[in-house]
Amino acid sequence: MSRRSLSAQSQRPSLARASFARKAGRWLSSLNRFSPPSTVAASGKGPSLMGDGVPQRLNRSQIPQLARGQGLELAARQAVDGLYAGRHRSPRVGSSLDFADHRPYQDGDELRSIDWKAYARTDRLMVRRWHDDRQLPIALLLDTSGSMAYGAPAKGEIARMTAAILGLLAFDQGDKVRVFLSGKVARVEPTMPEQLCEALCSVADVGDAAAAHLLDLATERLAQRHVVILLSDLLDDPATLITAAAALTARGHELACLQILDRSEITLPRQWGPTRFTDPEGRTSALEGDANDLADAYGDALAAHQERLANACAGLHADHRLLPTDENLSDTLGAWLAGRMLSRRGAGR
Amino acid sequence: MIAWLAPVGGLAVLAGVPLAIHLLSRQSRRERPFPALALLFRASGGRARISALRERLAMMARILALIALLLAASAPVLRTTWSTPGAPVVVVIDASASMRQRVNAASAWTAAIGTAGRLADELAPRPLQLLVAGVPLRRSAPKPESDRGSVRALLADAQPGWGAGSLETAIAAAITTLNNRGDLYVITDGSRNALAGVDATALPSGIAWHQISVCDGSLGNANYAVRAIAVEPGSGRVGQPLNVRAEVANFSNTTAELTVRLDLGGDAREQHLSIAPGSSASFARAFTPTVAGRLDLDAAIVARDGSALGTSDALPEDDRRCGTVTVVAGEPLRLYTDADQRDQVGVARPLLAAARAAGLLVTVRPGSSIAGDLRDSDGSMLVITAGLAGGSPTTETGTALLEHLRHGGVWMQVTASDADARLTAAGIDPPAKPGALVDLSSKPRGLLLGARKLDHPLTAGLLGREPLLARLEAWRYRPAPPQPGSTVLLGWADGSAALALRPIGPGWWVQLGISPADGDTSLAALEVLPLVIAHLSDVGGLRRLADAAVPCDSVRRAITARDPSGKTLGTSSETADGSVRLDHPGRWMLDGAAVAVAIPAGESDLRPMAEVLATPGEHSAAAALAGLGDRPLWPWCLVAVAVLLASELLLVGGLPQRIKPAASLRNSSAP
Repeated sequence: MSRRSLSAQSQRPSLARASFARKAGRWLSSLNRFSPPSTVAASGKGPSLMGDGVPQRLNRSQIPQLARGQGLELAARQAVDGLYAGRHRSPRVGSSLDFADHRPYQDGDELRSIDWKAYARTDRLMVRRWHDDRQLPIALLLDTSGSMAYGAPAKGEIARMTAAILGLLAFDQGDKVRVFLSGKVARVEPTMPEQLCEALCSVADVGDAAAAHLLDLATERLAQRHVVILLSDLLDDPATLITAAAALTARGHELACLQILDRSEITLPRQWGPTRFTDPEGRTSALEGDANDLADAYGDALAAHQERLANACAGLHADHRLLPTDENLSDTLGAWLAGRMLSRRGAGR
Repeated sequence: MIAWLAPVGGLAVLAGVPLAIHLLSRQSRRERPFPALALLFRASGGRARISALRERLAMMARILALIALLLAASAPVLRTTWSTPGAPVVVVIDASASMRQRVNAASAWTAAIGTAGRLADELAPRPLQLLVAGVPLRRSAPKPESDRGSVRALLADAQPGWGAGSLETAIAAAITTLNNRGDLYVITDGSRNALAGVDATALPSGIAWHQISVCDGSLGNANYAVRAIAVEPGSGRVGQPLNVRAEVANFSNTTAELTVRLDLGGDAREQHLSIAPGSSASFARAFTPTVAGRLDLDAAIVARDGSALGTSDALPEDDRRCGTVTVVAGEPLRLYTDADQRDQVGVARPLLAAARAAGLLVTVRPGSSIAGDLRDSDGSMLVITAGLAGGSPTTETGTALLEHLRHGGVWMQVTASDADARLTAAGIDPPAKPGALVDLSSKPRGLLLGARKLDHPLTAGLLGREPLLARLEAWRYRPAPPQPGSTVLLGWADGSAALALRPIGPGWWVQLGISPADGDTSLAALEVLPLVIAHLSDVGGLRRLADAAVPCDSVRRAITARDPSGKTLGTSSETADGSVRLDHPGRWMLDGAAVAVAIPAGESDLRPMAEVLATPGEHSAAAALAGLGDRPLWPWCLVAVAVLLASELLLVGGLPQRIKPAASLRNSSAP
């Protein structure tokens, strides 16, 4: 996409957002993988990571190509400060092709950096400076607690698939990917896409580690400024979550919370009737009640929970995106990626 | 196989069908893992607890409904009752004379014994006590016990009495035994007077009353009885006619043509009486005794419609009745006085006038002759003492008066002087000493009458003469408190006795607490005194309709006694206090005197009681044994099933709820 067209779109953000969403949707749909739950149920198979760690029917080689073709990328909303050169804007002045500004000539500056045309106009020696593009360090925090095994398709499957997509996309962009897991293997730093897929394939949704634990882990381990993407159901205590997220963002990291929920968690099915609800992570005692009686009150409680999370994320300048497992992941994820791109362009350029 | 107690039992099945359908179609509670359990807890608040409570209540309702249904269905088998399983039971059997009634081979007493035996079996192992309400009251054991041995022994040994029984006493004893908890079964023949005097509604709340009538009208209850023998005038004198009347009652539902025989000292005559149902007729004879001594009277129903009564009479024992009257050759009234008979305002003159007005043959004797005259008294004469003179009475005088009383004599003591007040029968508690003479003659009004009891034979002549009694005044008198054990028939306003009656053995001691002299009282002027003396003879034993025969179970002092069969009673027939129990009808000889004993008149009325006392409805022996006399539970069980099902449906189904749309969750992105 040319800079002119991007510039034009930036002047019409709503149209641009719609255009990018359509493009992202087309791209992810072309993966022929992220079918709605009804299709999955009919096929008898849920989404899974199989064989060489590549999601089923996911042609890994197509992702960079398609992403490149559609102009979709995983962008940082703020300037990044990677160790290596990359394609993401950094606060430093460097050697990219994008012009940054002029400054007066000082002794020692290379003569080739002098802007002679500016000297001709202003009769002063001015030196041209260029933006420095760096790698985007991405940290994928994958909640692998027992609650992520819930649903059909399981929330954990969707989370791993999302992580795989985002990871492969980052690799294609030449970015650094780190994966934090709440399981036994706490951190993985794949250097190749295959390693990423193998790492995602090897985890199971067991245990009771909370998402806040992942955030604390990232806060502790990440020295550079990262884009931290949390893939979790975020059903833990919001106060703990917000505290951990605040600590993370205070270190300069950019946080995006992708909340993956099953439809039955969003709307408690009344038809369940008298039910004995148990905690899959075994942390609390069981609750006996009639789903028909509890549905309304549960909806209110969930809305309040989401409201609190959303407000907290807004305060931390973090994304909060709900990914229902029964919705088309291509739509939801593509819309989020497009939104980030537009947001970066509107704010950064 | 269950035999339904009533067609209503089918309703239980109908009620059970929807219950079974509901239970079968009920969803079981599934267990689901749910990650957002914390939110669910927050959402439920108290709702889950309420829901759980509601579920448990519904479960309880279902279980209770099932139990009630089973109880209702199995009532004929289980015989569910209201009573506490371990509560004690007391069974009281009426042992009055009416329990001897029978038709054909059936006897009320046999039926009562059988019913009590079956109750003892059916109520096992609950502790049980059997009371036989005769005289004396008999118990199977001091308190209810599970062992039926003593009960069976008493049932085998008990016999019905000849008197009115002691049902009131037995029920009172049963209430004491039960101590406000348990069941009281009362077995009677169901005749009209069976539960007379018993107020079952006044039972303590913890005691369940079960009334069983063993006859229940099925025995016919047709009975004919000689209810009384009356002799007029009160005393028999040689050469003076006696009017003897036998009263015969028909306690059946049809008019009876009865042949009655009345035997007066061997002179027997028969008469046909046509008696309407529920009424009575009399066979009266005039008889003039020619010799002094005992005159035996016998009345009997000998035939009905010209043939023997046979089995048409439910209680043959009351078809005969006997009596005795003593015919004396001498004067019937002696007035012992030292007062001048010619004194117009003295004591003697009003008494003589009153006795003569009453038709009595009066002999006036000085007070000093009491001991000699009454030493060998047979009790046949009336004795009045009044206006005696001299000091303290001698011992011989007191002994003679006691002898007179012991033979059934009547002594009227008129307190007109100090000597009159000091006179007493030997060995008897002396009357309280009269107070000092009170003189109200200077007052505008004398002492008026206070208490009065006019339903006694001695005061029967004053009945209906209230204005006369209201004008009765005393101006000079000695306040005399009533004697111990005496009945005050007339009392002065200050509480002292004006006319009192005290039984001394078979005799009667009448106390007139005022001088009849004109200056002392208006007794004579108002003709009150003749009305009292005229009925003085009615106080004695066999002298009036109501007292024509001594009822059974009466107890008299220990004397040589022979029963109606001529057998001299041994110690076994004597009670602990040494008295002799006249426990069956007939003519008894007590120390030479004849006493006629008969079945109480009320026992002859065998018609069914007019109303049920405590528990309306069926209370026959069959019904009592079918459900043990308890109120059946099954109708209440069915009601409980309906109520529980309704509550269960409300609890489980709940009320229709408003469906709220699912909460819309929004996504947010950082600006």
